[in-house]
Amino acid sequence: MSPETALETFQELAFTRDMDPAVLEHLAALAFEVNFAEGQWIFRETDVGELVYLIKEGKVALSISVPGQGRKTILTLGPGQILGWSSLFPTGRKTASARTVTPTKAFAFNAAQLREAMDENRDLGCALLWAIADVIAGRLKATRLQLLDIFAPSEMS
Amino acid sequence: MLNTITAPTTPLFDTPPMFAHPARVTAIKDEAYATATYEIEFEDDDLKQHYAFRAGQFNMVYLPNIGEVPISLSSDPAKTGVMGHTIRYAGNVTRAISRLRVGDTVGIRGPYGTAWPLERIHGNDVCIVTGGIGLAPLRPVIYHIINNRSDYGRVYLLYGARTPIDMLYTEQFEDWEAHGIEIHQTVDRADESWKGHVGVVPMMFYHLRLNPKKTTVLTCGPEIMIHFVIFEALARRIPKEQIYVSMERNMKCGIGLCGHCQFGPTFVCKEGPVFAYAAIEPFFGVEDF
Repeated sequence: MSPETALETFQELAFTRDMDPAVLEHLAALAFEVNFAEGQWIFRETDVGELVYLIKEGKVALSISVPGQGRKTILTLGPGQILGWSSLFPTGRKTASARTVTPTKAFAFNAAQLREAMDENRDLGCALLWAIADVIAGRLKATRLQLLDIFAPSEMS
Repeated sequence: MLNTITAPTTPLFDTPPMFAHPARVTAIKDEAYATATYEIEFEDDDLKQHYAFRAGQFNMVYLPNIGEVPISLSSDPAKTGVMGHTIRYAGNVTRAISRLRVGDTVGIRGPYGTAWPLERIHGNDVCIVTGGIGLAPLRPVIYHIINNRSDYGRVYLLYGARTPIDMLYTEQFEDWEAHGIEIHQTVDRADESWKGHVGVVPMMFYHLRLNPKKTTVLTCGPEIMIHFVIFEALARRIPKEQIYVSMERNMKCGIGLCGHCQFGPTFVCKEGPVFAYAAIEPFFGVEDF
């Protein structure tokens, strides 16, 4: 995959499409494409991951193993969504497991390289931090709603 | 007039407003856990022929000696003679309805309330966002769009449920997709055998690329879900004037007399249940309203 091809795709994906072209060019130079078969584990919780992914095609389930209850899927991610962002932060330990639901293509970034690039290129750093903050805020919002269990059977008429 | 949309209550017949007309259950179809769709027909042939409703309206369904409940119409508005009601058994009256069999009689008055603004949004893309039994009052919208497909642009259905077995009308999804309705299903919880999405329904907006200028959002479900749907729609720059919600309140009389369903300065049974979000924004989400 050439950086030009990656750039074109970034301009379509929700996570990146509003970023400045120069930022996207820098990102494209750091990205490499990875493919996963259906049912393949991408990483498991507690792994210390080195890679961060931006999903291009397919669907990935995030799950947590609950002792005594088995594995619970907590969220699925699709095209334009990032996966494994915890690798960007200290410890880099994954907080959930990721397994493909359908064959999946993604862009992968080495987390250490990406951090370095974010430090050197402040435009890139700022754009990525805003985008990641938006993702985290969205997932926090969704988790709150999920916790409310709004579709639980009601005893009210 | 607070609301800015559609039909007021349609007086059905020249009878006292609280008079319930005898109607017979002609079919019952289990849809999900503790949820079934009842097809009901008036016993009087004249009523049967002339009854008409618009997508979004509801009937009051009466069981003698037990009580009366407002139930949304979930059938095809273009299909005359039969009324469809999808009912979740959750209270005294609906639990009594669960004991009805084909051939049993109920009382019906209606249709009541405002309707989704389906004529006003001709030419627009339509994003239907709903959860749980909230799909029932929106199924007539889907029938209407399918019957008049060229009047609308892209149509999305974002549908959430607690688990996969709680989803309604799934056997119709293939047909709806064949008519150009893009369906995104999600559940709040699932085991690994589920191949669809997991996550709350407002998150499904992340999978769409909407044109905010020409997209209308229609949403119905638990009120807290509606809050989050509006949040996501506004975040995508969809104007509040293009967002419509169906509100649920404790409706008793259905005709704006008793006041049980008061919502701010309005009665949901009469000026709702379908509201333009722009009209109710000042008191939407206000605690205890």
